[in-house]
Amino acid sequence: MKSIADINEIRAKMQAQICLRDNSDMEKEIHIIVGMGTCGLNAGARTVFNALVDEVETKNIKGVLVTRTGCMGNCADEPVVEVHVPGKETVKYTKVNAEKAVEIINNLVKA
Amino acid sequence: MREVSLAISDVAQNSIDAGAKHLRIAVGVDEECISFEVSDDGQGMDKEVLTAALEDGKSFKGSSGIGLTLVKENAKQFEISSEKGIGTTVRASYLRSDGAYLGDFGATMLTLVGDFDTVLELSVYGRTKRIDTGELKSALSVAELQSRGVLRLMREDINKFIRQNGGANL
Repeated sequence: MKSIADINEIRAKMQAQICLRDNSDMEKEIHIIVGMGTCGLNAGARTVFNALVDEVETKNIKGVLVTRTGCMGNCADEPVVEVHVPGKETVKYTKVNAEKAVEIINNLVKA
Repeated sequence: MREVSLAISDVAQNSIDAGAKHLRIAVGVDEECISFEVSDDGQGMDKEVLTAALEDGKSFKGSSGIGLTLVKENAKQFEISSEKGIGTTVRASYLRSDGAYLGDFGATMLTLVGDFDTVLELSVYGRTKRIDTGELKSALSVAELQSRGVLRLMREDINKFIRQNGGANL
């Protein structure tokens, strides 16, 4: 893959599949939030965010959204990751690194 | 923060916290400097808040209040302008001779595809690259862009561009 043009090509290929998306999937979406304020970033939150996204792709899991947020008020415990599974209690992970990120996704698959 | 990509991520988080829906990030690299400009359409700040925002340890959102201090710390030039209700623009420039490097900017951009649109204009030794995440999002949801590997490709594409035009140590 050399350029954004290639990405656009992939996107075009995927376009056909989008119509098949069921809107009710949105309600079932698992939401993973990474604290990326100054403290989170300096503790390695960017690496964690990327590792989470990579693992979701590797495991080919659908219906998971990874987003960033600002300071979560636990500066000493950063990087902090919150996992929101619809219908379940929110789970907060602290001092996350790339390996722990893989574990977090593994736990989702098991659940 | 000597890795300028992390400083950009920090400034961009301020934009997101300010409710921005559009971020424009310009990054320029030449022999001497690494510079960036982040502008947003967030809630903006009046003069009083802006002055206080630059103080170390001062925060209006329950955070540490050290972000901009760190961004400014090693910068050769730093400018911030803001207008209440319009948005904020931050500009910073770092000397490479001070040890500043761009770093893993691809990884930073991967985290800047969300419910806001980010337009990136990257210039490395005069070679330019433009990415509009709004274009990517027009076809696929953010979750799908992530799970289908489109954002990984974007990350690799950006970093390849940086390494090819700016070398391994940029």
